[in-house]
Parts: sequence; C-alpha cells; structure tokens
Amino acid sequence: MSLLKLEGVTVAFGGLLAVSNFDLEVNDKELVGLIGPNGAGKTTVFNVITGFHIPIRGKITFTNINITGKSPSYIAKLGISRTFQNIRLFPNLTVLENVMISAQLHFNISYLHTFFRTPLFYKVEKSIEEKALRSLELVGLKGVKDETAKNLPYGDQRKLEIARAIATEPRLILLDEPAAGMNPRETDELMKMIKFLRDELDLTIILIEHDMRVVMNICERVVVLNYGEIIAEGTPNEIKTKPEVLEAYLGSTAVG
Amino acid sequence: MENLKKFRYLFFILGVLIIYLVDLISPRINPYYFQIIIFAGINIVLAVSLNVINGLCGQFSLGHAGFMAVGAYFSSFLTFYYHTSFPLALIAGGILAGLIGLGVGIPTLRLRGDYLAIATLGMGEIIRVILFNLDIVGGARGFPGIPKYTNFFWVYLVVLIVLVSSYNLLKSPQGRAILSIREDEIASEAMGVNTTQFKIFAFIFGAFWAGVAGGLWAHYLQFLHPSSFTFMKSVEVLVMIVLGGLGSISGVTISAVFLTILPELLRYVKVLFNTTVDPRMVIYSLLLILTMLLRPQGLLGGYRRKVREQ
Repeated sequence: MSLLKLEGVTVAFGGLLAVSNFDLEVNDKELVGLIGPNGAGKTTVFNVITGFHIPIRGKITFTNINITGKSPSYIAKLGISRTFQNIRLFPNLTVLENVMISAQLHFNISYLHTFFRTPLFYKVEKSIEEKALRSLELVGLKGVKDETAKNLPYGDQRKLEIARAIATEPRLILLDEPAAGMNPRETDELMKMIKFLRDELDLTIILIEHDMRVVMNICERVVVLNYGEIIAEGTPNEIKTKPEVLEAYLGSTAVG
Repeated sequence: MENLKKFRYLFFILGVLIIYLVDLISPRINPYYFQIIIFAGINIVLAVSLNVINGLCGQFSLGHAGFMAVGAYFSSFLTFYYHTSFPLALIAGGILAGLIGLGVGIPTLRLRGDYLAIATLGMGEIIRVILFNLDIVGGARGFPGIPKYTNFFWVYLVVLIVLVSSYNLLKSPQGRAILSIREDEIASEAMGVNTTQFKIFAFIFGAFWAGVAGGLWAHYLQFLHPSSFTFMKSVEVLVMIVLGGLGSISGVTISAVFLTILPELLRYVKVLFNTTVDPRMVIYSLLLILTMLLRPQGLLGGYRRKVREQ
C-alpha cells in the first residue's frame, strides 16, 4: 500500500508552472531520492506535500487521507516532517528547546495546567524533555543540548534539523539537501544516520540531494525532475545511464 | 529545584501575604513616593503584558494604549454606574480588552512586522476616537468621579499574578510554541505548531492584562480622559520593553520601574539647571538611541536566553 500519493499535482507561481502534472507514489519504508538541476522544482514538491504551497490542480493523499490544501501544522500532526534546504532552526533557543518544540506535538496540556503548574504539568514536561533527548542522542547532539542553536557549527545545525524533524514522530520524513555543505566524513555519518532512520525507526524517507554519492549509495528509487516535470524514474543504476538525465544535467551536446 | 517546586503554591501565598502587610503600612509612606510606587506597579503590568506579544511572540503591536483604555473605561463604567466590586470590574475590563484583542487579532495577525504595527496603531486610535464620542463615559469632557479603589494591595497582587503567569507561560509547551513563532514562523508551522492560534492567544493575554492595568490606573487617578491613551502611551510601554530587553521578563520589569522613576528624578534636573524646558522626552530619546547603539539586545539581554538550570 502506498503511504504517500501525489496525482497530477500542479503548482503555479503566477504564470510559471513550478511543478506540473506531478505523479508520485511512495511506499511504506521506502527511501526515494528526488534529484534534478537547480530550479527543477524539487523543493516546491516538498513545500506542496507539507502544505506550504497549495496546488492549483491535483490531489495529495497521505495514509489514505486527502491532505491537499491542508495547513502545514495539520499535516505535521498527521505524520509528515521535514528539514529545510536553507537551515531554519530556532536560532536563539537552546538545542534542547529546539527539539522540545517538535517533541511536544502529540502532547496535549491545557493552559490551566500550565498556569497553575499542576503535577501533571511537570510530568508532561518531563516526558517531552525525555523524548527530545532521545532524538538528540540519535543524531549525537546530546552533549551540546544547552548550547544556543545559532552557535552550533554548520554540520551540527543540519543534524539538529534532523533531530527536530524526527522528534515529531513522523511516518514520512522529507530531507531537503541534508548533505549540503558537509565534508566527506560528515556525509558518511549522515548516510549511516539516514539508513538508521529507515531501518530502525521504520521511517519512509524522501530525499533531495545534489551529492550523487549519497543518492547512489542509499536511495532505492530515484525520481529525476526537470522544469517541474518528471523526466526519469528508476533505480540509481538505471538512472545513471538514461540519456534524458545526462542531458538535463550536462546539456544536450554532452550526449551527442 | 525539585525542592522548590514542592513549595510553589506556598511561595505564592507568602508573596500575597507580604503585599498585604506592606499595604497595611502604606498610609505611612510619603504620598509622593507612594504614587510613584503605584505607577511603577501599573507600568510593570503594562510592560510585561506587551512583552508577551512583542518580545515572546515577536508580533510588533503598537495598540497597547487602546487595550488599556478599554479596560480603564469599562471597569470605571461598572464601578461608577453599577457599583460593581473592584476586582470583578478589573477582570471585566480585562476580558473586554481581551475580546477586542481577539476581534482585532484574527484579521491583523496575518500581517507581519511593520504592517501589523500600523494596523494595531490604527486600532488604538479608533478606540480613542470612539471614547471621545461616547457620551455615557463623558466623551471629550472626560470621566470624573471614579471611586478610588486602587491601593498598594491590588496593584501589587496584579503585578505578582502577571509575573508568575508570564513566567509559567514562558517555561511551558505553549510558551515554547510562542517563542518558536518569533524565531522562525515557517519552521514552527512545519513542526506542527498552530501558529495562528498561539499568536492570537499571546495577543489576548497581552490585551487582557493591559485592560486590567487600565482599570487600576483609572481607579487611582479617579478621572479618565481619552487624550491619556494616545499613541505616545503605547510608545512609552514599547520603550520600556525594548530598553529592558525584548523577551526578558526580569529585564522588562526592571526597566518599567526605572522608566517610572526616571522622569521624577529628572524634575530635579529641571530645578538644578533652572530651565523651563522639560528634559524628559530628550532623555528618553537619548536613552533609546544609546541602548540601541551599545546594547541592542536590551539591558538584561532579551532574545538571548540563559542555559537551562539542571
């Protein structure tokens, strides 16, 4: 059964079709790569899945629920989480607080408990903190939990984004260029972590990445996007040899 | 920490008791100093409540004087015409201000930054103009004869409650959600925070306490006039929170007290230099410029939070 299904999704910015007639089916526990040249519409696909853009046509279903045009917070609650291409942390909050904000998603506590500091309040607060700490431990940032987020080195900020995304207990996680700006050693760690998320936490992952080493190594299926349309789809090895893909990446003369 | 938690209610009751005891000796305080103490308390309530909107939630509101006016007029209306008990009138004034905050918040909180500032500024002016023309509360003639109910006890009880509730809000799931909106609204949405709902809550919370502060103010001065609630009053409160450090509850409290006392101290400057010019606004402006140059994050550093205690 497919977990996420996009049917004929079209997103327009003014007269420009950023994504047109996009179909994608992602199965449970699949690891799909989304690649394509700059401006191909990859991030737009993520934005439309998470509710930041509303498609002019098409339908998006997640776990058989129609999520087309729903608010980002509603979609997050259903179990889709994401990271951002240009890191979007909560810069002035601590690392732990950053993750606690997403870890509290499925906890409900009324203002009454908050204002009167009831025993239940402390209990919930403690569970949120524990959950946040587990996420931080997974990405190896537990040691810097009291650091202000903006003071972290770049690679750690990327990791913190992942920790924050998994703390919402998602079923599907969208990673937007997680390896951008990482050195080869950090990239290796990242690949291990992404595999771990899929194998141990049973997450389904869609990944946008320019680093072909990452895409070829860990993705089971790759979708290639150019000018908002899918130009190729298949296993990493199939993709590598397709002329359309080479053309999109290298230009037509390289093929000829 | 754990031990202190157990006594949290006891500490609160102790605080109320201390306020009550000080209230008993308050008739012996020099009336001039006493008035400054009362105004300092009211300013703390105003500043801490605006801080929730501007400092914690990051929404730039300039309508605090409007909310204050609503609370002031409505509570005075209740005590003057219906002899409502004072605490009830205060709460009613706060609730009406909160409701107006809700009504204004729903359409305007979609706006960001300077646009929201202009919209809330407009709201404040609309409220003032309505009061100018509302005959039942005196209109342009003003509203005299309000009973004098405000005393040390009520002012500082409200100060205690507003401080405790803001602090409790800040260190809570809801508080973190509110902070995350200030930090990055898009990321906040993506993490499942219903940003509209929390923005409106912050707005209502701020408006409610501004209304209560207005009620306290009215029942101390015993006279209200719409011209007290101009845009300048909102700016005065804004100066307090920017000077204290946006987002820092302690910083904002200290600066509210400081900026209440400062104009009074400046009276001596006027006498000392034997001038007829009131240097108050000049110093105010200079202070703001200097703070922005030397400590843009405010006196106690807003937006820069302490490491969590273990």
